[in-house]
Amino acid sequence: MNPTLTGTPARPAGGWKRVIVHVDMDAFFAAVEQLLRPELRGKPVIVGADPKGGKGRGVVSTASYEARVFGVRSAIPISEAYRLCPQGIYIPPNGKLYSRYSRKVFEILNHFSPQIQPVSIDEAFLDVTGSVHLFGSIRKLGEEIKRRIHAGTGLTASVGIAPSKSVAKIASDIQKPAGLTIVAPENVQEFLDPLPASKLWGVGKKSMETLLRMGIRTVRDLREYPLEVLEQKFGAMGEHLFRMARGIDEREVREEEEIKSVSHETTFETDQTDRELLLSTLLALSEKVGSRLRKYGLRGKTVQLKLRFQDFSTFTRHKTLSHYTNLTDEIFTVSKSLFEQFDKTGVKETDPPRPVRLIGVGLSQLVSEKGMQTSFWDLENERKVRLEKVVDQIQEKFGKSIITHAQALGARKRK
Amino acid sequence: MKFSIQRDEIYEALQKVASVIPQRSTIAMTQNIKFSVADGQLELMTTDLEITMVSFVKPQEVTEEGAIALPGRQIHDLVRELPNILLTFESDANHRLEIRSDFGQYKIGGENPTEFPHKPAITEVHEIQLPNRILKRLIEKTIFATSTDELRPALTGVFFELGENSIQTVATDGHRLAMLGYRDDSLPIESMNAIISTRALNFVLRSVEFEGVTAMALGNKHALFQMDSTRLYARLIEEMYVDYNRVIPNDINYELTINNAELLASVKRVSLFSNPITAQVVLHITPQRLEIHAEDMDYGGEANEAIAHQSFTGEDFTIGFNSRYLQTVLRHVDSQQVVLKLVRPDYAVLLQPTEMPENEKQLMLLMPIRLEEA
Repeated sequence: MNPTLTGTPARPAGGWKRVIVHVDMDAFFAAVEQLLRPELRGKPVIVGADPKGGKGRGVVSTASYEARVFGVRSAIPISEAYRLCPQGIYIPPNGKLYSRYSRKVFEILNHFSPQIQPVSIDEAFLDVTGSVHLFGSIRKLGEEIKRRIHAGTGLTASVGIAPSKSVAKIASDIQKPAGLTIVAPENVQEFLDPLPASKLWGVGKKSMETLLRMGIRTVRDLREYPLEVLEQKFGAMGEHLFRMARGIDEREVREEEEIKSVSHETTFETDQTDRELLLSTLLALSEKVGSRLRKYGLRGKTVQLKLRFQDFSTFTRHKTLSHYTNLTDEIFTVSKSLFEQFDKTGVKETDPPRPVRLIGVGLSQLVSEKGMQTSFWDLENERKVRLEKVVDQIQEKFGKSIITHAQALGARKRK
Repeated sequence: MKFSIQRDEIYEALQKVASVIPQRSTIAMTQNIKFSVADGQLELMTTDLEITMVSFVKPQEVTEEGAIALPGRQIHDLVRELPNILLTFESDANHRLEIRSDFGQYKIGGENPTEFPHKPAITEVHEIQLPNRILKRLIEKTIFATSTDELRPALTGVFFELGENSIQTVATDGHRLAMLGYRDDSLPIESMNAIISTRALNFVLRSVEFEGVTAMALGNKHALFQMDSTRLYARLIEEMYVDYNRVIPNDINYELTINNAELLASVKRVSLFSNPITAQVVLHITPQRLEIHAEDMDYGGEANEAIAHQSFTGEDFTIGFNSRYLQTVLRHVDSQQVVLKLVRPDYAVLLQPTEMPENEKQLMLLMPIRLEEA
């Protein structure tokens, strides 16, 4: 939206060039459960696949704030959560229910700006540069978002507002739950400096380890390093770190960026040359990608293969199909052919196989199955889909190790 | 070569063949029209190497037999601009042509006709005679369902299936399927099939008269349509056609009989309110009536209609369609009533007319839009 078209003040006052809002629902899955089951309120609720009395192999999806006191965090294994918080109430996730609440939240957000980028089921960016004047001030807009989400759903959200996406995202996380943090352009540096560098977008476990080894803990520490040094240490990532540490982030809020792709990859403990093992791994990864897509009711059109070799050189190859799929079989067949093609290019028969360090499979150009025009191929694939869904359900219930494709079995045994 | 002909006579033949000339081609010769005069007949030929079109016309006077290849567009455009007067065409040994009329004369540089691509040789021919009316129906009732997906070349054409005194055409793009069958004792018994490109069939539709009979020859690599004054050679799509019989539902759960025109009109109106991308309309069928619904979440538009049906065997049933597909399919049903045979909301729907001309059989399949997450 171009605000200048309306003739009203185009830009908000102050040094704000853009006003970006990050909305993050507080302990979303757990909060929905607590909302609908009042007996759970005030108790440590842990939502995660496959709790099975703590012996499940799943991970925690969301822990209520009461559970977080015990150190339970999302993405830790359920078994560990059980150890930390045996008195917790463990609930398997109810995806349909959460999607319903998510839709409500997004309907509300639609009133604030047409420019919304859903990041996940419980998180979104809004560019309100053009609409903030309708709400009086940036603070009033932030408060109104929180108020309307609470009034409309009974749930709380934390809101961060800043001149860029990455700073807005950090801001929403600062005062959880039900927080509102506004970082004006002139305060961005002051806001970032004391934070641990791990808060910055794109700084994962690996890069944080490197940073710590360099003696960098906080954003301020990071900012002392010149661009050249960071580039030496981190390659292309160096410039990214340099910019993030200064709050420079020009990424736009993009509406279509919902879930763009689903991918899985594996790094081998020792680099692999065994073709059979690589193919079995590829199948296991295809199965992961396929089952995730089937779970979300999505299908994709472009299959991507990623390979990293011993020398860290990384390659991706992709192929776009004429139709959308979420079948393990099909994803595997395509990724296998990509792998085999890659294997042959520029390689002589006599060359020793290049040891593979990492292999990954992904699917992009995703569409929802709902509202999708079906085709006769779907009828042909119907039996396969039904079979794969049954496999998904059994795996969800008993853990991944129960059923696998015969070839994936090979991968597992040898690990 | 020398002959005289009325402008209208030759222009009609030129128009027919000129449309085959490719916009651009690596083979320069295909930009030409080959003129050949023999046995008191003028033959005009063009080709894009997939399709070869030949048209015959009788000149008023033939002075000298012979042949020449002439720049197709130029000669077509010149003749187009002339009134209906007598034109004399004369070529020399250096493949130059002079056209004379009451207005003046025009000289065009042509090429050696022996270098023009030859007509395809049709081998292992099966020949059948079809009334033009039937041929037109066999094409028109199916061609709309062909695919444009180059990754599945077989589906970019119409599948002709011959056998047991019958001919049947089938087309599908994977979302819908259209089939028309025609039975006649004069048709051969042995079976034979071929996939013919939509482009070639569109030329056939344009060239075939309503009355009369067309001889159709199916060869190994080409099909030949012999119409009144035109012959069309089409290179076959040499692919396996899909085994479409596997998707025709056998176990029908519900059957809806409804006035076709009323259903089509309602779908047209309601679909004006559907999302322009998905074009989704939802049909909710009850024993009493049919409700049609569309909405566009993005712009807030919504439409609901309810119309009476003839009969419905079954309980409430809801199914979604791409309204464009549904409309095209309904438009190709000629009978007053149409029957929709339903299996499940996510299964192919079988559509059939309640009455058909004698010796004909029509069947259409339409895949729905998935309304629920699978």
